[in-house]
Amino acid sequence: MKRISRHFPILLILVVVMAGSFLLGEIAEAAAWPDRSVEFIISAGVGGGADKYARFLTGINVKNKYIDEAILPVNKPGGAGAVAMNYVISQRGNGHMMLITLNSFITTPLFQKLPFSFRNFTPIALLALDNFPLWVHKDSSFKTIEEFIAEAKKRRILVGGTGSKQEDEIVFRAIEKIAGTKPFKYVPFKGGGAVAKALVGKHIEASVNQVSEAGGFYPEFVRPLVVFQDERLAVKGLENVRTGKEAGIDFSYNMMRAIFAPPGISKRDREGLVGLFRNISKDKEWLEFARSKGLQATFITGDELMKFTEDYEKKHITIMKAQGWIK
Amino acid sequence: METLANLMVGFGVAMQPFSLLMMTLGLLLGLAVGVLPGLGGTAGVALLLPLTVLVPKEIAIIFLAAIYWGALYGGVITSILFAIPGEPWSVALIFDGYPLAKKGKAGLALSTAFLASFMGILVAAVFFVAFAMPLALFALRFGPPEMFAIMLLAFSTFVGLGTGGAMKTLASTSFGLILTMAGLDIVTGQPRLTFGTFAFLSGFHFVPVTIGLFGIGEIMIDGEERFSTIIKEVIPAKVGMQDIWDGMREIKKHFGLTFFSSILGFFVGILPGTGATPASFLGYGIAKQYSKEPEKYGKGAIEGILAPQAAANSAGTGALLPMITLGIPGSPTAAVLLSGLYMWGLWPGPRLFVEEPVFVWGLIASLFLAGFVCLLICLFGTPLLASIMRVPWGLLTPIIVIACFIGAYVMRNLMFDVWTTLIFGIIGYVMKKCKYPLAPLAVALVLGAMTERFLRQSLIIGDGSFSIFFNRPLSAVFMVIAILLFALPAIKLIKDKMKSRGDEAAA
Repeated sequence: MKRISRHFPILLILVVVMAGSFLLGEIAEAAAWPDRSVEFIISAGVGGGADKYARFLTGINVKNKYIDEAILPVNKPGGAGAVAMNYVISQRGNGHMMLITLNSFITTPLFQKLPFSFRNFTPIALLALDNFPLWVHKDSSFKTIEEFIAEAKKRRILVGGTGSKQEDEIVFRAIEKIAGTKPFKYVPFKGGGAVAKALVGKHIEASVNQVSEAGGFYPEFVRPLVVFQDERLAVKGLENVRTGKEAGIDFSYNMMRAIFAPPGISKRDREGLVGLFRNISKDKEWLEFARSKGLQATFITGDELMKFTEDYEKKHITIMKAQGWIK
Repeated sequence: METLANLMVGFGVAMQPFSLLMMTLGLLLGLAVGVLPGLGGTAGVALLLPLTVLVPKEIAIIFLAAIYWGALYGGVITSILFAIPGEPWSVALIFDGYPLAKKGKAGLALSTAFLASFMGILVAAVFFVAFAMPLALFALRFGPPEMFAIMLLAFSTFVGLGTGGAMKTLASTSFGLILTMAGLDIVTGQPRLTFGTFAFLSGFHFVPVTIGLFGIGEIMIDGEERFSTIIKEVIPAKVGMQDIWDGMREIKKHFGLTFFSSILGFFVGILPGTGATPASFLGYGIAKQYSKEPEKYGKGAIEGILAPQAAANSAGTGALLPMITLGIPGSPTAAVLLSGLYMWGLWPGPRLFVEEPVFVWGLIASLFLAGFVCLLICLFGTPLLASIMRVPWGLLTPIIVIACFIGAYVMRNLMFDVWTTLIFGIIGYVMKKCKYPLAPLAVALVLGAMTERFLRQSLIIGDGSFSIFFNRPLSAVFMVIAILLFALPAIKLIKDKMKSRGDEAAA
């Protein structure tokens, strides 16, 4: 007894401090999101496609201060996005984390039979749809998409893209199917930059690099033949590139540049994240960036985004089944 | 003449007080991230990239490039002092740098490495200015078959690398190659050797593995020696400017080798997707292959420090060339710088030289300046760095071990990599005890995945036929050289046998 009474003042102070910090915590809970820096998970390595976008968005926040806390890009490459996705899934309830997607967000869980799918994530925002034009070398004998297809019906054309059974290969396999060409000889590369370089160096005959990857080589080294989306590119100098549908290949496909968060986050955190990207989606620099790279900037969130992703999954399942990649 | 005028414009930008300030800041940051294992120049540049929206783009690129130069220099420090690679491209520095430091010549090893770095950057910068465009176009001719031939060349120079006999070298190399196979198969996209786990899906990155093998393994060996024998502290030699003069003398003595390694590094650097790491191994391998005293290597040969380091820094510089001229990154760091270009509203590609001369030439001018300023910083820091070796072992070791694990984690933000480091520390210890050479494992691990990718890409292009490697003039030349290099030790062996038989017959 005596012992406790001797330590009583210290105990009292401890209790007060604990109660105080608890109360402060409560207040902080009620305050606006975010409480701390926000982790921005990138499923590709440093310098890759998704990485570029994530760091650009981070830069916009540094400049225009949509949130005062820092956004920290964190790369979790590996397994065609599986490593990053698994990590975000494991962070249930963490409202200070977000993931930037590629279409592997849909295809990887299907293909690798992962124990989760996009449905387990919290939808935050679809920021833009990125393009898939078909590029050939400037010196190539293919002046039009018709010439390209005609040749592709005669022999197996050598093409290249990022990874295997991911976006780029999906586009080429879809062309095969729709236009009835011979199967393309598809060479997988490590990233979009390597693909563009192989095309410029004439090591492959065609690629479906995004405008942001290959656009810089036009018109000195490469030529776009067609773009596989509903509307023509709104990039200066590329307005005359026909869409797939116009050229008789009825195929429309885009890269989802979207943001998802871990499952089970609080309403406040979700609204905070959505608010951040709603602001970014109206940012002048973002819109200018999107315009110059031929992205279709947009903003959808919540159920609408889930619905959109579901439709996209259906589209992928059709293509992947036709290829026998999944059953 | 026009080039010189442009270069003057560049110096005009790079010599502004604000540019110089940002450059020095970048260099110091780069040195810091270079010293920390795992947190490499690529991560350093990526981390600070978003902040650069706050300064003009000409200065932003100089700042980021300075981080990169700083890291190119800084990576050597921990390699030499503690056998921990601060940067991927400084793994080769361990082979001879660490033994030399252990002999108490840390100061000499460091100053030689720094001087070789400067030489590498300087040679590369001159080539950069003189032949930017033609070289970039030449590099474009290197497709998968050519790159595979180059990789084979790198392996071939390492045939005789091991010290534990041919079979042990082979075993060590094979172990490294098997490790590179875990993860996604590049051609089929199927998980491979993952045992159904997420952890193995990321594959084994060579940074945590080498930190474990060399860093942790070395600490265990060291600890054991201290425990079992009477502790005899290696007193570092007199710390001072003397090391720097000695370093300069070494560079002068081996000027030909340093110059050759720089040129070699530059050409490897401008090739697609290789960067400084293969260049440093190639530099080391060739230096050893053509040395008159190859037995010196691995025991603290000064040539084993300057050759890989000159090659690495020259390659690091060269990797920027295709990025600037064509918008194609030659290394991971260059890829990050490239995303900086997007952020600053620039369109990388062949038009950059014409449309943004101030930006491009400012960067090129800063190559010269940064190389020189960093050399000064490092040389003055050398005595201080070398004196770290005087810190008692019992104090220093725990700090190093912690740094190793943090370094392993930050590389990819994966706990898996921390476990990898620990387990490979034990493997490294056992391998060393059993006299298995570690260097071939490291080389196989670094180059294995790249080699496999180039091989399989080539075979798709060539319809599965190996003739593709010999149909194309460039790759044919490299293939023939590589095959000869592989055959050389075997021929030598047979020759020696014949000779000894001849001697016996004579006797």
